Amino acid sequence: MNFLAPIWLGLIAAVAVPLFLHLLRRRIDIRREFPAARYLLRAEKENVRRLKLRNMLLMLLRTLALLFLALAAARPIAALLGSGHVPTALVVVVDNTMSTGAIVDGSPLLSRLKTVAQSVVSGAESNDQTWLVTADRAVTGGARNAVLDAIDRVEPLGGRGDLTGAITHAAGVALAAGLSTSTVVVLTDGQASQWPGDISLGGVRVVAYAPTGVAPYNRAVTMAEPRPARWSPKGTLLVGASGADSVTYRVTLGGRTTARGLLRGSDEQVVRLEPSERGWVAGAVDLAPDELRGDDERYFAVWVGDAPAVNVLPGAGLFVREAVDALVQSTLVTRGPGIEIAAVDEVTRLPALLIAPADPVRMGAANRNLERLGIPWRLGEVRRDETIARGEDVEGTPVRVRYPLRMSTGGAAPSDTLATASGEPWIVAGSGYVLVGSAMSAEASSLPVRAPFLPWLSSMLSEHLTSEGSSLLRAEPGAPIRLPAGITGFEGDSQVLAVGSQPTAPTRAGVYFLRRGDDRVGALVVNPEREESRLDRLSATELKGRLRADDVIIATDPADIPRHAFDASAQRPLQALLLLLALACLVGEMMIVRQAEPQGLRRAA
Amino acid sequence: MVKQFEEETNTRAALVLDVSKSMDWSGSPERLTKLRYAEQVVAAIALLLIRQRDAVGLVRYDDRLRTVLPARARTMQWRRIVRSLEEPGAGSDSRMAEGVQQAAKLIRRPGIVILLSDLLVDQDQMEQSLRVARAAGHQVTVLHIMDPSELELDSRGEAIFYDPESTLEVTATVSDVRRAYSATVMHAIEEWRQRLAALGAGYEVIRTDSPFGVPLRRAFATRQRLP
Repeated sequence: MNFLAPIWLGLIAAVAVPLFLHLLRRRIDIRREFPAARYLLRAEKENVRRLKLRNMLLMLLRTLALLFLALAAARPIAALLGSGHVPTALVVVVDNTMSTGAIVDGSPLLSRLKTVAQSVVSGAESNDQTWLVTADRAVTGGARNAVLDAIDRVEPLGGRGDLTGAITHAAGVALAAGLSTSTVVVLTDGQASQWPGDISLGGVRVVAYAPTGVAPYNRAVTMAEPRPARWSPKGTLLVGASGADSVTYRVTLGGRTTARGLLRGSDEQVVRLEPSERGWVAGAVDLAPDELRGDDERYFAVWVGDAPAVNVLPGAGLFVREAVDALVQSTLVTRGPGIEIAAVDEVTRLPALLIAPADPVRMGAANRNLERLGIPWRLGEVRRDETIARGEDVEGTPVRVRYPLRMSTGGAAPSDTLATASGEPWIVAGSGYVLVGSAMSAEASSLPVRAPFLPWLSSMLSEHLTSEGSSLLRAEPGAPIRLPAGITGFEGDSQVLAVGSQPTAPTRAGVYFLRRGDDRVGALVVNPEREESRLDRLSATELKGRLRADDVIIATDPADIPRHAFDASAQRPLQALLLLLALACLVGEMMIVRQAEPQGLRRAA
Repeated sequence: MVKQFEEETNTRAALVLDVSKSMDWSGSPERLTKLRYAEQVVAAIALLLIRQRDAVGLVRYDDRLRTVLPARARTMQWRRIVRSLEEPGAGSDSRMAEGVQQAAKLIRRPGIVILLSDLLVDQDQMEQSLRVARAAGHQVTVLHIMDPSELELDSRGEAIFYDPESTLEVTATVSDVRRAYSATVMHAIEEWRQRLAALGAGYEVIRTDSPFGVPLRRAFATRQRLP
């Protein structure tokens, strides 16, 4: 037996009071004249045994009543009979990730999880504390009704959320409450991709519900990628979907259906588009709805406008000139005085794509020109060692001759470095420039002779060296984002959402235009994580293996959850039982005393 | 031819009043003491008898004989009786046997002996004295004067209860002994009733909180000369 308030055990000393009174009951000073004292004496003699027994019984009942009251005040818990449950810090984690929006047996799984959560919280008593934690790590605590209301308001997230983070956070909340039992109830669809590894939850008790049965079949749009990111005005859209069978898709752009097609299996298709709109345009690729509606549509945004003008100077090299010719032919760029592409020492102004000179002799002139252009990077001593480049679009490219790029002042921002070689910056970008640390020759690197060269060059020109259309952000729902300077809000669904101090992506998937005042200066595309579309589930055993805690109970029947939620070990509070026993003692004592009370004078004759 | 007569003779009665200390007690200041109550009963009976031209005498006793008034049927007798009731008493003993024997002597031919007492005396001694009175041919009626607090303990708490006429002290918790006490008193009353009935004496309990008319009527119902 344990006591939650052992200080009250001191009250047990009060049991000495009836004992003391019993022992002292004959020490009395009141004298009453009573002529019929002989009858009193006779009555006492004739009933001495009964009176002794009665007095002993009264003393026992009074002593026991005080003992039970003192014990009840100390709030004992024990593995005995008892009512209710031990005071519990109960945190209910409702998995409201996108996958729980799937229709199962005619209703969304999330609504079933919410029903279970409400029945669990309804079982809380005044000694308990309850909280609700959702997969976006939002915590709601307080009165039971407040938590019930919060559960009622839970909606599915637009993406994957952070279920494991929410559960870990819930365990911390439960333990911080300092109650005798800390229980975390996890109500989840058991989606395997949400449980990449074990979760260590410390000294809490975990009761988890995971539905049994096969997860519903789900198809999802996995690819809706404009190529390039800036259309001039023609462009292509890479479309893909998950699933083994064929599925029709539809492409909408600017609110109009612009293409339809058929995807076979998990193939990807390129859709050529030439929208009439200009500026930032929102689009989406959608499939016929299935059980999980949240991933049947995938969003994209593209900037539509004139192709950037490019001026290639002789020092850029043969490969660059031919690549630009190809881009001009495909109308992705035009020739003109816009962006200069040249060797570093030839560039006269920004914006420019600066390429390291082939001859190391020109390194000094190149660095002086970089200084003149206000670019903080400098070319280091030439290195002639075979190495592999790391970076988007150039991953795995062999590099043989390179100038390690170094900042002239301070350290480089990580986002400035687009690719590295041997861990040193190789391609960097900044405001109005892209600087490559090798000459565009086959001797210096394999970049100009590899297939990704053309898309890489197009990407550099349209995304890094063109002011319009360069501010395209992609994020998962609710994820933290880094916005360009001066952004005041997100525009989506005819609403403008204010940007907070620590901006995060909206929780609903869609296209949100970046606003700087009244101007659209970019777009934020929010799409759910692709792995959230995989609905395959963990088994109860696998789920139990993922949860590391003092006690883990996995229930596959939702009706079992409320029972397990407060069934913390076998210990239950005995307070109510002791109070009942004390009451019974007092009632018994009262009945014995009342038996001796006068019931009206009886006629002697 | 037989001629029948109904002879009417005057009755001679002796009232025997216990004026010991135990009688001078009341369980509540709102009630008369047993003695005051008994004195009123004595006065009433005496008046009734004298108005019927019966002779009435009075004997008062406590630890000794306090008053002995021979039976007379004159009107002045009632005043003498009332004056005698004001004489002192409250002795620390009840010499009931002497009182009854003296009463029996007061009336030479068979008459009525009416004893008013709380009967806190030795039962055997009293029975013996009444037996003598009965042997002299007297009708004996015992009026047992009781305060309601003696019938049922109506006080609370613990106290030392002491008998004013003896050294007897009983320490008791009223709530503990209330039922047993009541049963004991009822048992004692029943004992008196049976013993006196065996002697051919009348017996009636009179509570000091109730009018004495009813118990008197009951007690003397067989006495045709009393109303």
